[in-house]
Amino acid sequence: MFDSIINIIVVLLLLIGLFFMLAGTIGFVRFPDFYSRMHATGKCDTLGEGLMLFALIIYETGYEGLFKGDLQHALFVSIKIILLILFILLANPTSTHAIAKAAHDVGLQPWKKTDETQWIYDQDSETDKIINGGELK
Amino acid sequence: MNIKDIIITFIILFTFWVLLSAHFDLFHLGSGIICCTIIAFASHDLIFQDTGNYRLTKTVRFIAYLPWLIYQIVIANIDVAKRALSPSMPIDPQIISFRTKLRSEVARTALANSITLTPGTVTVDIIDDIFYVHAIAKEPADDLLEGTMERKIAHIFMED
Repeated sequence: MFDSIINIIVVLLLLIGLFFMLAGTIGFVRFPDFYSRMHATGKCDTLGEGLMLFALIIYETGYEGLFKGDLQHALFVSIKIILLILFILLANPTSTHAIAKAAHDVGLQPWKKTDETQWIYDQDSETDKIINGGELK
Repeated sequence: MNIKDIIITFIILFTFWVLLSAHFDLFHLGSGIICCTIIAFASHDLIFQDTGNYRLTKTVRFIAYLPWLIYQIVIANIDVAKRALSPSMPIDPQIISFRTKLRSEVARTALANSITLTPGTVTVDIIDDIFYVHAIAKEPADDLLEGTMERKIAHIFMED
């Protein structure tokens, strides 16, 4: 009974994680340009992988640890997976930023919905000078 | 050479070693102590680059900030999934720029990574004080420019 409850929770978490990975991939294919594709891959991967690893933690502590009784082993494996989650939480946005910065540095222009920009935030809040009219330098 | 930094670095490294090895015999612990001592002496200045005031408070505040960040990540994912899967694909991307009040490198890094993780915005570049952020639509940009996150980060790193 207990092990099947654990298994159901684990499978549910894996499926939700899979859904976000799938949504990220679909976004990667559907979005029009480089920068908006970064949104899809950079964010959905973080939560998708996080949920999947969280499912593994529950499996380790719940099934291997509590059900089968090897608690010490399960604890160490869980801590290692938590470290993995923290690493992903740190590395994913950093790499997303690095790739976006590389594209910005070579002067890739972002895709716009229409030719005229409908909304631009180009005012510097301190000096009220225009910094960047929505365009790259 | 700062003895306190070396000791803290050693403790962090050795905790990590024990967690990863998960063996408690003399050989594993002994080689861990030797390696961690050498590395702590050689590179203790890599971990702590700030002036070192109120480290504990900053750490506690950062840990208290994490639940809010995770909540934002969940919202961000639902947001992106919605935009990616809806047939009309409601995106209207734009690069926006704003001036930050944060001074230290760590605080700026934390803000840049938080922006990337939260709904609809990706940090593209930081030049001097100005953040260039790619926003996928107007609403995420409005939320960002309200400055909630910047205030939270400033609170963590005691720059408010």
